[in-house]
Amino acid sequence: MSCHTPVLDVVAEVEPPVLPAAPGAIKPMRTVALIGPPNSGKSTLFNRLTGLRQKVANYPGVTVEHHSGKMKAIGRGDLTLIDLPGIYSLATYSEDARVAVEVLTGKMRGVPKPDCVLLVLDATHLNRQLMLAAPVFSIGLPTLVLLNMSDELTARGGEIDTLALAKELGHPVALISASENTGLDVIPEFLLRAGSRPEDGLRPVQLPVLQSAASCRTWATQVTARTKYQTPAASTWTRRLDSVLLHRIFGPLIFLAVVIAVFQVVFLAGQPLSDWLTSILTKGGASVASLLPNNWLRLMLLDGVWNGVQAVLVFLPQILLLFLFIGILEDSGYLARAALIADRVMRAIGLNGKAFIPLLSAYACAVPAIMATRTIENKRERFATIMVAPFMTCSARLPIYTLIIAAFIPNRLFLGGIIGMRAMVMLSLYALGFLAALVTARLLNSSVMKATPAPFILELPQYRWPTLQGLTLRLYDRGKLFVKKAGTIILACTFAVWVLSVLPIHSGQASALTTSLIGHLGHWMEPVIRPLGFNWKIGIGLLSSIVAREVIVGTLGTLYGVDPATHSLGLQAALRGDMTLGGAIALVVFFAFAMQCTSTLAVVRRETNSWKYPAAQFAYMTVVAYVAALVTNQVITRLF
Amino acid sequence: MFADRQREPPCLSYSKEDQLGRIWVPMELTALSDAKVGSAGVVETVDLPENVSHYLAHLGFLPGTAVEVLRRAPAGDPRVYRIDGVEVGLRNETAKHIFLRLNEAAA
Repeated sequence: MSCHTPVLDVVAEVEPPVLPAAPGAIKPMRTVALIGPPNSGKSTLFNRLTGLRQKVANYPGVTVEHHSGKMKAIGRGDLTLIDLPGIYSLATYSEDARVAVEVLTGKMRGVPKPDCVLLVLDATHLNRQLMLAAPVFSIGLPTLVLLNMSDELTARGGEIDTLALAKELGHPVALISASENTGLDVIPEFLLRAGSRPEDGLRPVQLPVLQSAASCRTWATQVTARTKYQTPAASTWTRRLDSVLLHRIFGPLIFLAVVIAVFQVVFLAGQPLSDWLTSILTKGGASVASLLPNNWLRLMLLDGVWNGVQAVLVFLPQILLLFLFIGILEDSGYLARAALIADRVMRAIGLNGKAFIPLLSAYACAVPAIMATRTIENKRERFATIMVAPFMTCSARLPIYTLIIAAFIPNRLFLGGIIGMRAMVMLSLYALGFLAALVTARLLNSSVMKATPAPFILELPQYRWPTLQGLTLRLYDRGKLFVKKAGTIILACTFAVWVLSVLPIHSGQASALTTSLIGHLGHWMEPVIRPLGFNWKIGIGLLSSIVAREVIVGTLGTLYGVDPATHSLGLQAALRGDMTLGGAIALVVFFAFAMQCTSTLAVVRRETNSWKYPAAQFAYMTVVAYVAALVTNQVITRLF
Repeated sequence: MFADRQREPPCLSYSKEDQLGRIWVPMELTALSDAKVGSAGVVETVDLPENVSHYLAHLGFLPGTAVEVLRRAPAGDPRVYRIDGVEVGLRNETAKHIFLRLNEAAA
């Protein structure tokens, strides 16, 4: 079988080992690699060892993400920890495994060869997890085997003799629990020893000669049998929960209830938080402005910069709340069950089960989702997934959705206060995006991109309590990204809009809004968007949001802030006075469909290696958005 | 809804797909997709393309491993199997290429 060769190649190229330049001189350690199968708790451990200071980057030439960080949390700020992708074996079927092999053998450009390896394995199914140990050991780096989830192992009656296992494997072994933060003190100890004695003597270990899955498996089973490994009993909790959560009738109902509840809470708890943030930012901006002399500088900072950025920043609470829930669902293991429930629908539209994960992450942002499609080997299926991913409701749509809903939809509750009208409108917008993706996938599948189905194989992890640290880190990452965007792209765009709104200068006086450059541009394009119920200010917002969807909120904040008629009103009140209900709903419908994102277009260009796909995608989505908004406005205007 | 399932009785002595796309398996073997919920057995062969069988092997689907049919997803397909301490969801279209020897009690 061809799968043996990659691993053997590695062994052949690693030997003979590269010796330090001068005998006796010990090269200081720099880099440590962290490797482990999916669901082994690798990222929790990575967070424990590095804390908040981690970098996310892409390996050159590939789209596999690359986390690295200084090991400051255990007092080794001099060492960089590289988190390798979660893989089951080093056989190079997937890009993830190729990346892991290249990093471990020092062939990855820009990544120094690791000095030692931390191998994380889930102690609760060691027979299977040890299959990765054999190929990792044969690379020949000093390795520490960390058997994670020791708490789970003992709680369920499993047993393991780490000393015997270390003897059998020829590498040090330790039981840890990354989530409980126990046993981790062996790591600095190991690093100290590996650093002082890079050539660690003989390893009396017998590895399988041909490293096929079957031989690795036989080897792993023999090792665990000789070391008297006691497999823990099945988690009764997971069984019990699954019998309800995957129940024929209750399962889908609970799935729906969970989704509705998430949106409900994002609205009910998010809105007051957002209002509170608005008042703080407005007051803050005003008090800083009062310190400045009343001239063009103050005008520029307050109207040109602050209004726009503030209008976007106030959506931070909603975005963080949404990601908190996604984090809880993912870390607890429920998301895998949701995938199982949703698979039937995915198949009906001709999408691969593997497309589910990229499409799900497209709810956060289409850019990483499109990069994640690299796991789909079939090119047509991969391109189909790329084409539909931007329809999923990404978090950049949240600001405009929230703004319009809060301004136009009454806060009414139904069914004894369980379901709110605002949450339902929000949910329908999400459903609308999903529906568009569905129909598009169906169209692609029945015409240009008919693909052969790839298998759907899904590991269902045990249910676990999400850790506070894991959730905090997610929110921190997300929040940082959002604030950074507000401080760069959105700031630049709203500033440009402001400049255009005061130019040209007539005898030292700024133009009034309607006679400014942007006013002229807006009035010029108004006939095209009038049938959708949009006025010229919305038109400018649409134009500016081609850069990024959130920009529209910043642009509207600037435009309504500059306009003397609405200067003193909040953005919500200003919009309420300036738009009809039909136009407002048409606007969010437009955003549900339109491809307003240059980053996505750029990543599609890169992934498909052609301008054909992003161009087609942009044209298709814009036409769909225009038609849908037109219909929405006309229907609502006639009905109400 | 269940149109893609090929439910030929497992009663012939070779494991090949014929021109009609039906899968014939030796008498004593059962396709994983045909095993009832609650039944258990031992994996005998995995008859899938190499990249798929390689992935499945690392989840535990190798000859000689005990497998149990745990439950169905709400729509009936995929089903959840317990193999080697792990729960794995597979569509029937994949599971029908995995053959097992059912345990006496369950059969």
